[in-house]
Amino acid sequence: MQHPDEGTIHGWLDGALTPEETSAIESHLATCAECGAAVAEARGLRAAATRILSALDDVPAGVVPAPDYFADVRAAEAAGRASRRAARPLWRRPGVRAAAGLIAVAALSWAVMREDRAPTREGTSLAAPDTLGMDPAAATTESTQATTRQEAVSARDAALPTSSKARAGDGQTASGAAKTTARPQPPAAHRAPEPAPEAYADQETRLRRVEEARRADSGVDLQSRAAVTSSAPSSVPPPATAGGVAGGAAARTNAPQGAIMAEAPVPRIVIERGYVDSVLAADSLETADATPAIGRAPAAQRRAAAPQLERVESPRPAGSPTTMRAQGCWLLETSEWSPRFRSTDTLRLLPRRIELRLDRGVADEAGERLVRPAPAEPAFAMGTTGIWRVIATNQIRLTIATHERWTTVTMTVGEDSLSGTARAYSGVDRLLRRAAVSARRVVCRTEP
Amino acid sequence: MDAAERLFRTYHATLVRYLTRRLGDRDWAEEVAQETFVRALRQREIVNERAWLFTVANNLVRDEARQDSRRRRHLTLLREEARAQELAEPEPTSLERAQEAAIARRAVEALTERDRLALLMREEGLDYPEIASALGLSVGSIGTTLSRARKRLVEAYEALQRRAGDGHAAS
Repeated sequence: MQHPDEGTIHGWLDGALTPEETSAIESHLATCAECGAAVAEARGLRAAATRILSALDDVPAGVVPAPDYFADVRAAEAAGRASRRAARPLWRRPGVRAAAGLIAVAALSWAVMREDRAPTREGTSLAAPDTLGMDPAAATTESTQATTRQEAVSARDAALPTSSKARAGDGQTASGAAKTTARPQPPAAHRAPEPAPEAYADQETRLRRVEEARRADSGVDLQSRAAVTSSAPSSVPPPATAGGVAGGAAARTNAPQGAIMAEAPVPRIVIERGYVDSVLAADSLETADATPAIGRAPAAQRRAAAPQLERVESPRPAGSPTTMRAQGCWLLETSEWSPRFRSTDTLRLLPRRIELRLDRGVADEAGERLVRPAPAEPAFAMGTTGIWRVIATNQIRLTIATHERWTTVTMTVGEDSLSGTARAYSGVDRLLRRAAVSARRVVCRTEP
Repeated sequence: MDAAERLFRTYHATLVRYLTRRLGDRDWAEEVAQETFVRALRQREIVNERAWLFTVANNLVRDEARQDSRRRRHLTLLREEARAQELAEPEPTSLERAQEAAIARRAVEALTERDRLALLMREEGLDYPEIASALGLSVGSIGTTLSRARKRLVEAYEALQRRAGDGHAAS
């Protein structure tokens, strides 16, 4: 057989070929590396197209610009910068920023923290979309219509000849993981080009995995969290640990300064400059022997306290395999941010070296643990907080936030590396930036 | 469940999503979908329901686009109002999503009509013969159409993302 053209490859992936054509292309692909690469590319394009189109779904009415709007944009571009203001996306217009400024800033930190506690939905939505073969953000939308779609797919598959059913199912799955319930694997020879070896078979499986990972990571904690709530309900602060303005102000008034927390038989909570750290009850299986947490102290004090504490190692595993592989110190390599940071913008939140600690914060509804700059790095600026947690097997997300900007980094955990995407949102210029991030493990060394 | 109800339950969601993606306007999409189902009820017999529904919806959109630009202007005005209301309570996820949606919308608009419709119908699970029938193309050309559509969509999207980034860096 000749090399199949792109249309035929897409047809094969879509399960649209006749059984004869299918077996011809499959036997060709088994031996042709060149076409293997073409198949991989086609799979990537299919997944990317699905993801892009899903961005058009479920957006609040009025946010999706009308076709006319883009006619304006094109006209403006053609005419140079003539109507630049009109063409500028809504969220970048100065008037809009001014009008929305304060509320946004207040809502932001709250929303960020809140978002981070909804792992089944949000956890998947930041997971590397390409490796999942679809935009996970669409999953919620998809699932609401899964029944309808499933029926349609079943009806279609029922109409296909038996020999091609499996392949049709495969193609269907790749174009949207929620569309089918089964994902038959093509013959082994064809798996090589598959860019998403761990793509979830379906929505149900994905949700279950996320849930399992969450349980594995934080399940033990459910009890201790309940203990925190029941034994010290009045001490549990509102969830605005990112430095919600009001919460911070209230906390400051009764905060002991620079407390360093040790193990305690009952949950103890230190409120310091708007931040809350805790050591959970000693009866918690997971944290009974864990490294003591550091209450948020003034930077100088924290630096002074740090060397002594850095040497304390957690004596036994205290988390899921993903947690244990991810904890420790990492050197981050960040690609160019897009859009770029301006040279005047000094407030990038991502330190060059970070430490993912096992310590938990008290606003720990989803296995949140603490992130901070690695020992040799400058400490976080005052008003900055960092948390990380496992969002799925081999996937973590860390969030570093002030009250006006935040950065989340979603990363896949490898043996001694991390890789993923960082998103930096600034409430100041109201702009989301992205960058690719990779990390390699470094020793958590304390400076003399 | 009677035939009409079954038809509606089976295809309404997918048709509305298809139309929303195509038109960028949920209300308009709902209207077209409704009219499509009304016509389906009048039809005595439909051989391939899904292909029939998508074909009729496509025709309705085309007819409507031809004759009813006034109503679209009105919708644009309503949209502006809705925007103004939403700006009272912005949240980061909606901003981010709106940005992504805007770029995705432009990328979709960059496709030719035929490529766009083929791709959007495929995303709703229509098979090649159904797409061919709805667009009046030969089945053999659908694979090529889809591969071209996907490639151009992704390229356009990436180019727009880059341009958005450069535009900001320059400003």
